Amino acid sequence: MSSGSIVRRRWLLAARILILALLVAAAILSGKSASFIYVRALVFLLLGGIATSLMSFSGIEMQTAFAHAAGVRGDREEMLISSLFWESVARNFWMLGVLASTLSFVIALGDRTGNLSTITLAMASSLLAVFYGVILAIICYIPHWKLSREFRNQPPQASGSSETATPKPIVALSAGNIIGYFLFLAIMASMLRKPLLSESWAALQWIAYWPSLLVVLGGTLALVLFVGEAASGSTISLSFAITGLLGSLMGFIQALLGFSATSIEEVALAITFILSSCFAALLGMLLIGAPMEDRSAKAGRTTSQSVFSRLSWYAFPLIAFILMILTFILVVTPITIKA
Amino acid sequence: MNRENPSRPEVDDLFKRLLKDDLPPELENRMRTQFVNLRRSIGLSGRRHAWYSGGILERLFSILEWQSTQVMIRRDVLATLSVFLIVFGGAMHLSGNHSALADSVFLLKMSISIASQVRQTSSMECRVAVPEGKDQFSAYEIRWVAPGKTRIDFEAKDGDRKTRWVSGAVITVADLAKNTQRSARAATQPEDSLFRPVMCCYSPEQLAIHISGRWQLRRYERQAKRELGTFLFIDSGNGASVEMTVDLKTFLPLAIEEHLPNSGQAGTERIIIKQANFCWNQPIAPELMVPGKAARAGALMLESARKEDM
Repeated sequence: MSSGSIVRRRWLLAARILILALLVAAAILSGKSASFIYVRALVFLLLGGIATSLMSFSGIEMQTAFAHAAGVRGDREEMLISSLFWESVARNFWMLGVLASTLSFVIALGDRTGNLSTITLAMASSLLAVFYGVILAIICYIPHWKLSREFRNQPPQASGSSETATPKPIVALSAGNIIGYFLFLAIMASMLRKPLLSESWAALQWIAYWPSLLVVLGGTLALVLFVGEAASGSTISLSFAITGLLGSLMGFIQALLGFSATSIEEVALAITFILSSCFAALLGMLLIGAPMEDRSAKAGRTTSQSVFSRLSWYAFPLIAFILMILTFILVVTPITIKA
Repeated sequence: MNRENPSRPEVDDLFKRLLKDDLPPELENRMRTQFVNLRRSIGLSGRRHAWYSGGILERLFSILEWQSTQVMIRRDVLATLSVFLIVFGGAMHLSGNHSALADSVFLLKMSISIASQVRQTSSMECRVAVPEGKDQFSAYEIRWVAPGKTRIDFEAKDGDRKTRWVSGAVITVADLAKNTQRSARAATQPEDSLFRPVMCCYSPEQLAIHISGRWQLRRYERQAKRELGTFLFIDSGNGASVEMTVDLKTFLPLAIEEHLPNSGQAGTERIIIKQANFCWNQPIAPELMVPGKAARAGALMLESARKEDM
């Protein structure tokens, strides 16, 4: 690398840091920054991002991906895995954002420590997790886009390139993957064990609504059996997304029927069903579907994640987020009776 | 397996012909064994390779792909299990399965609906009793009509009577004992401590503000037979517990009882600090809402109500 390009690189880095500093300063000076700070969700997202990355990638692969993102060149196969890593991290942040939002929303709803104003404020604040998730996802997409472009521009190797190579066997869960799962469970537990006025693990009782969990689990199992291809994980994410969507829609219709019948009990049960279905489906996608497909893609059994899986990873959390906003509206809209 | 690879019988024949005469029987057997093993490994290659080299999860899900007869039975079991899970989950939900979150949502939504319903009323009559010593209490009679006229008749335990009208920004107070009446703008008027105990039911708007802003939700009990519900709140201002009985047909409060903080706990007697009974959307004589002559009439009504209570 010539000294001129090194100097140019340094200037570029300084300019990027300056732009970032200006954005942060603008946010602080606007005086509204306090409303946009939700430390608990941010910590959950950052640690959750690390945990979910560990579920799919090894430490060396992660290190290489960071090196590639910093501008270090590598061979074609390494670049492909690094690109896959950044895409997976971005996707995980997006899904984690919606998951954290759903959890915080449920905790705000279940918590009876405040009055109506504080509860509705907490419900609104819980949506901030999605905002953080989107920002982190965009940040991680930048190296993915860059590496994908460089990967396309690199000439294919004469033999043994990733497209033509025979698929490698999917390796067993490594110690790193298992640590990832444990770390994620620990983060979830800390989120659910939030000390409230209510007893410990009350949040777990709020989110774990058995009927919706059974429907999502049963529906996913049925779809995986029908479609097959379970070993590569390509149908698991889609199956979770479809059953989560069906469960949420069922709950939403029930809520509307409850509104028309002025039955608050019905509306409350339906809202529980919607939230719990979304949560179960998101968790299933994050813990089973996405890591399996990542490992499958890494092994070269698929060149990249399937279109349907991508659709489920990006579309379902978006639908879950929209449903959560609708749920918020359903909760704060009073049922009125003509006198 | 032959159907998957039709060229294999020919290969078999070729091997058989090659091995027929030229090799000793021992070597032929060994080669045959090797060949059988090779065929097995080819048959289980590709997607099923994960079964051998995959991790726990891969192995678990590879079961679903293995198309041997034994595993077909497992697939049936899994299919039955999935249907059972869906049906059981759906049935549990439709039968109104209890959920702690649903209870909280119900409580929240009910409070929002009550606060909204209270704001939409056209008139309110409320009688408030504030105990002061044994068998003695001060009484208030509050009348409110939309869009915002309030009249409060007060009678102290010693018989002192006052009437207060609030209309927009003007407050008028009549002292029946001294036969005086004065009006002033609300902004310039110091707060009269006499009327402080009834601030929560001063008007439907004030009551709604208390339900949604000051009182913290705690518990709900339903009296199914009488179509009534009882809410328990904690007043964030003074820590008092507030019990509100609501008509579930109209979502309007019928009675409110405020208890001294921590009274009624650990077997102690519950001490009532305020008791209010409501009557909603009933016509109120317009002349009662105008300061002046009607003051005494309102006070007499309060006195007769007080005698009824005693």
